Amino acid sequence: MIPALFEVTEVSRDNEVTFSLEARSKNGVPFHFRPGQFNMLYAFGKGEIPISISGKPYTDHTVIHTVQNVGAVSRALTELRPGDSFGLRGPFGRGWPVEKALGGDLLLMAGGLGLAPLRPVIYEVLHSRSSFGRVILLYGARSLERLVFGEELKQWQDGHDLEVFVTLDIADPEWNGHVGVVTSLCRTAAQLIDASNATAFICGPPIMMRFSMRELLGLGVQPARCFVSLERNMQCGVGHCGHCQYGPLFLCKDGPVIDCEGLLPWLKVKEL
Amino acid sequence: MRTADLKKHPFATLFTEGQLEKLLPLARWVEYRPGEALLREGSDCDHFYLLVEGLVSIDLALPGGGSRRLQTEGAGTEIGWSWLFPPYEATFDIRAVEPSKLIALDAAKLRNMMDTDQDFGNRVLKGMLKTFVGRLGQTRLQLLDIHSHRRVDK
Amino acid sequence: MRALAKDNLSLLIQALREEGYEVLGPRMGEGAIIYGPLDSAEELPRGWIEEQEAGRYRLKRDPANRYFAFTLGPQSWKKYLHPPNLCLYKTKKTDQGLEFKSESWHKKQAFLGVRACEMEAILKQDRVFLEQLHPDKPYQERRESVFLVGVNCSRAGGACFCVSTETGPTLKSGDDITLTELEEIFLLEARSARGRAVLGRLPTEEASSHALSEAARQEEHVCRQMGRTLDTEGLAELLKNNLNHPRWKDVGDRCLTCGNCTMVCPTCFCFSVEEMTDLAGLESQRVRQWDSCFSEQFTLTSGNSQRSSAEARYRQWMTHKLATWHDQFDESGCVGCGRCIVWCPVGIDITEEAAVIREKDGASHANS
Repeated sequence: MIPALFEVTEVSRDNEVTFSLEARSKNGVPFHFRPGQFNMLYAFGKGEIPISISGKPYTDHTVIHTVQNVGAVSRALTELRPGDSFGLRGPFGRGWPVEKALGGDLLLMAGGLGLAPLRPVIYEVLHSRSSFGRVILLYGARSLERLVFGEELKQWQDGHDLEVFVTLDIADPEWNGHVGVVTSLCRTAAQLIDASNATAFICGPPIMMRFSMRELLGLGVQPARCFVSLERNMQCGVGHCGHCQYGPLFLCKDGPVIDCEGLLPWLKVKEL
Repeated sequence: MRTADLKKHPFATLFTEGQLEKLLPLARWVEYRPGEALLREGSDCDHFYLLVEGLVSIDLALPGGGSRRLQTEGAGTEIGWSWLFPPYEATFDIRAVEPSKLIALDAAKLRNMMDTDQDFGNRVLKGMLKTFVGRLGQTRLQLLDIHSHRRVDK
Repeated sequence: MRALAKDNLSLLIQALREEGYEVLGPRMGEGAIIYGPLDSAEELPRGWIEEQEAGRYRLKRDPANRYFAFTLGPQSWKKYLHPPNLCLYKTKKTDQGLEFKSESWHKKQAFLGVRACEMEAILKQDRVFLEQLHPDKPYQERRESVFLVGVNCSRAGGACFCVSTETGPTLKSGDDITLTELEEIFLLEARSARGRAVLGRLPTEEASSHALSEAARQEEHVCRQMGRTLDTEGLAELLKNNLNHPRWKDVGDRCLTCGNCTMVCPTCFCFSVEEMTDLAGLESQRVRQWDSCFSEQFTLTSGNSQRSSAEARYRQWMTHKLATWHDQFDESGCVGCGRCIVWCPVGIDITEEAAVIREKDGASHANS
């Protein structure tokens, strides 16, 4: 599958190692996706990696990816400047089942860059706010410098549509908010909603997701209504290359978003 | 203070109506403004707090001044465990980060009630232990640095 | 059913060539029987058979001097349908940005001598690459143009267990023409319009009832001769329920994680894609190559391998093949060809591993 050619229109820096690239198709084809889906991004001479789509699901002509500089390809992507080209294949995978949260409470839990794949959910919620009950975002970052989307977090916090709780693992002296891992926010959040009827979406580092899931299930969230977005090595995005297998799943096409009910038996096996 | 006030905190779910009635005389509302200290390291720990509204921090005083904020606790959590064992002295500083409303339970009377009513005592301990096990787990994750890509080997 | 004189086998090759096909089939090479271009029946490894056992493959002469008495070499047809090295597309830096270009496949190929298990393997890879939301174009182009001449086995190898996996020894469907080699003649059966067209060009006659009963006897003989058995009853669930079984540690200690089993397996499909740049840095290509779940790099995510132990990697391979393949494709991923057993340098035997787990079903892992 040949990539489509995209051109960077804007680059913004989210933290010292993370950048958001806004881009549009060079041949003017509109781009549509569902929150939680990803694209395979190709950087010339470096390779291709899966990156979640982090922008608004309702803009036809641009697409935003938030990329953390951790390897050769992601570095090349973060070094792109407006006017530069890259290749894009996608969107791939099953996203967040936002429709399951309609009419009920929605709990979003993010760790680090895990907020990027959840941001489109927030946009979608804000777009049709009255269709949802209480919407709570629990976000944990390592430190103030590693926080992403700080401006927006503040906007969301100041508005009345979302209840936002942000916590840092390591407290900076200038930080006057929550300190501790993101799971420490669960109990507070559980008091605000009816956990047994809520839908939960979790995205972040693997250990964070494992513990968050356990915490939420412990507080009464139904496994079938608790979803996580899993990460694995992916080379094709369409279920052919075999790398992203996790038990019976090809995470690229059966995931990356998986419900916890199906996941629980596999979590008991190490190095799966 | 009425039992309905106690029920504003999940700790109340551990007890029977009768036990809640007995708890009433031990309880009073307290409020703290941001920055105000509930407890200071080394001070007498004569209350067990149920945080109903707000946010408090567990701080460690640093040599030479200043302090490091280790963790925060939000609404719905229990604060303080030093009241349970001699010498009943606080081991960390506890401060309000946001305007906080708490139920303060008289520690000496609470210990006494736990000793005389074993069933009640058992329920208090179970509730506290659950909170502390959770907090220990969170502390372990904090130590692990879950955001790091570095493999944490066995 | 038609009968063809043995001496006329070359006419089949000739007919296929006249239809525009490049004929590929078994021939001697690299100390084994491998697949390559065939100009005539003379190039077939006539009169050769192999001795095959766990970790052992030797060629030897067979006085019966049949064309297809051998069974399976290390290669399978996937080397043509899913090439081990393939350029997906080339990228050029231009003034407008980047230019992507891929080449289409235009060759017509005919495979001569597709065994029943190999036919089943091709059908399994069809499910992987074609019966998908996004079919794989390189595989699709090759698969759609290929002409398949099947051959029913007249012998079973020491590691064969296609009777257990119900994938042989007799071809059921999928090929264009099926050959059965008997003492004196070949039986030919066309299974597609293309097959009938080619068969129509050969000097055949109606097969005798004597020949048909010889073929039936031969099939029975091959079934009895199977070198291995695999109890497939409830096997998928058995393995999924035993992911912490101590046998994984045991096999992990023997396994060299060389990946030979995945290279010789006719259904293993995994690949990785690499970026190859020219020296000037102006042109680059995406090259896909077979990869193996036995490689530590295979599951590299954010710098960490998700399966760092040999035991986890062997377990992934075997449970994928025999258990989770059912979840993914509604069937087993094993065709009973036994190549993974023969070409394992330490002779690990998938049928034995499955039997041990069955024998001690429910045992728990000492170190878990």
